Amino acid sequence: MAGPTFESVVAEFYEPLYRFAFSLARVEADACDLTQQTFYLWATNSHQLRDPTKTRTWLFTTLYRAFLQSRRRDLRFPKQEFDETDADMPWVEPVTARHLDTAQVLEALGRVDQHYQAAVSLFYLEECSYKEIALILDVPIGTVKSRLTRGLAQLKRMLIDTGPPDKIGANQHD
Amino acid sequence: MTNQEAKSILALYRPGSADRNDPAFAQALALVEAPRLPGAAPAHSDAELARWFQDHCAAYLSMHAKFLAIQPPLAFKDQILAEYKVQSLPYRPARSLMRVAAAALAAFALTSLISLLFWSHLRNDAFLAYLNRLARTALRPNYGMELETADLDAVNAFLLQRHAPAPSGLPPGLKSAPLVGCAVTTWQGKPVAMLCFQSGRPLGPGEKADLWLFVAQQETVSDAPGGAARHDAKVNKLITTAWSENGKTYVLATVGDKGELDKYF
Repeated sequence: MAGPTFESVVAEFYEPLYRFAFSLARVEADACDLTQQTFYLWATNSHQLRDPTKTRTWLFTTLYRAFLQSRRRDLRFPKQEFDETDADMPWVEPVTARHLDTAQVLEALGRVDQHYQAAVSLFYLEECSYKEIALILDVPIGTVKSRLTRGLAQLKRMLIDTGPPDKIGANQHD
Repeated sequence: MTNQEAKSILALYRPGSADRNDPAFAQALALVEAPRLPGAAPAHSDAELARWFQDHCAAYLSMHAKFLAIQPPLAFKDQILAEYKVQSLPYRPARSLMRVAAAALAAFALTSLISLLFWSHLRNDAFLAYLNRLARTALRPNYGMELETADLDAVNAFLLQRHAPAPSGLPPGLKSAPLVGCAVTTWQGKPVAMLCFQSGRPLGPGEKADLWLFVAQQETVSDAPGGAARHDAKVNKLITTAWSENGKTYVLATVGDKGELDKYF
C-alpha cells in the first residue's frame, strides 16, 4: 500500500507541527525552521516508516528531537535527569488563564521547567493521545503524567504571577 | 475510588478528545458522570466533585483555545512545498519516465527545451527557498550569536569546531567591515556558517549586526550559483548577492538595495 504523499502530509500536519514548534521555541523563525527541518527529514527518511498510521508520532518525535538538539547547541543546557517517580506530586487545580492571551500563556510556559514544557504543550495541543506523547518524549506513560502534573502546577503558578486570577476555578465558588 | 483520587486522574483529562475512550479515565469519569437516583439528594462530596470537574473542563478548553490560536505565517505551507520540490524529483522516476517518453514521441527538440526551462525554474525555486531561510535567520529579532568576537581567526576556529564551513576568503571591502561574531545555522540538516558584521549604518534597538555573510559547502546548496559571478536577489527586506568559490557557496546580505553590497566587492 502506498504511503501518504508529501503534499498530503504537509497539508495535514504543518499547522499542528508549527504550533508545537512555536510553543517550544516561542520565536516564529525558529518554529518555521523546526517545522521545515521536520518535513525535510520526512521527505528523505519516511520510506523507513512502514506503518503510515505512525506518521503523526514520527513527525512530532522528529520535531521534538530537533528542538532538543538545537536547544542543547544554542544554550548549552546540561542534560539533567530527574527522579520523576517521586511520591510527593503537587496537587493540580484547574489551570486558568481566560484573562491572558496566547503570548502571555506561552511566555508563562517558557518559565516552566524545560523538562515539563513539551508534555504541557502536547497536553494542550490535544493532537496526540497519551500513548503517542509517551513515544514522542521517549518516556513511559507514567512519566508523561508525572511531568504533566508537575508542569501544570508550575504553569499555574506562572499564570498567577502573570495576571489577576481568573473567574474560573476555585475563586468562582468561594 | 475517592473524590480526591478521581480528581488526580481527571486533572489530566482533556474534554472533547480521545481521552474519553482511554481506559485510564473510565472509572473516574464514571464517578463524576454517574446519574443520581431520582429524588435522592446529592452527597456533598459528589456535588463538589462535579463542580470541580466542570471547572477543570472549562479551564482546559480555555487553554486549549489559546494553543490553537498559534498560527503559522502566511504561505508557510507553500514555502515548505517549495523547499521540497527539487529534492522530490529523484523519488518520482515513473512520472519522469512517462514525461520523457511522451515528449520523445512528440518531438525531441521540444522536450529538450521544456526540460531545460522546467529544471531551471525548479532550481530557482530551491535557491530562493534557501535565500528565504537565510533572510529569516538574519532578520529574526533575537537570533543569538554563538560567539561574539571581532577576531576572524577565533570565528574560523569556532566554525571548525562546529563542523561548519569557514570562509576561504572575504570580499575585499568586507575585510574592513567590523566583524561582531558568528553563529551556525542549518540548511536541510547541513551546517551553514553565519558571520555577522556591521555596515556602519545606525543599528536598530537591540541589533548587533546588519550585514551577514553565510557560508555553506557548495554541495549543501546544489542549485547554488556555479561560479564566482555574483547573483543578486531581493529577499524580504534584504538584498543578497551569492557566488561560489573553492567548493563553497557564499551569500552576503544586508538591508537595503544593491548599492549597499556593491561596495564590498
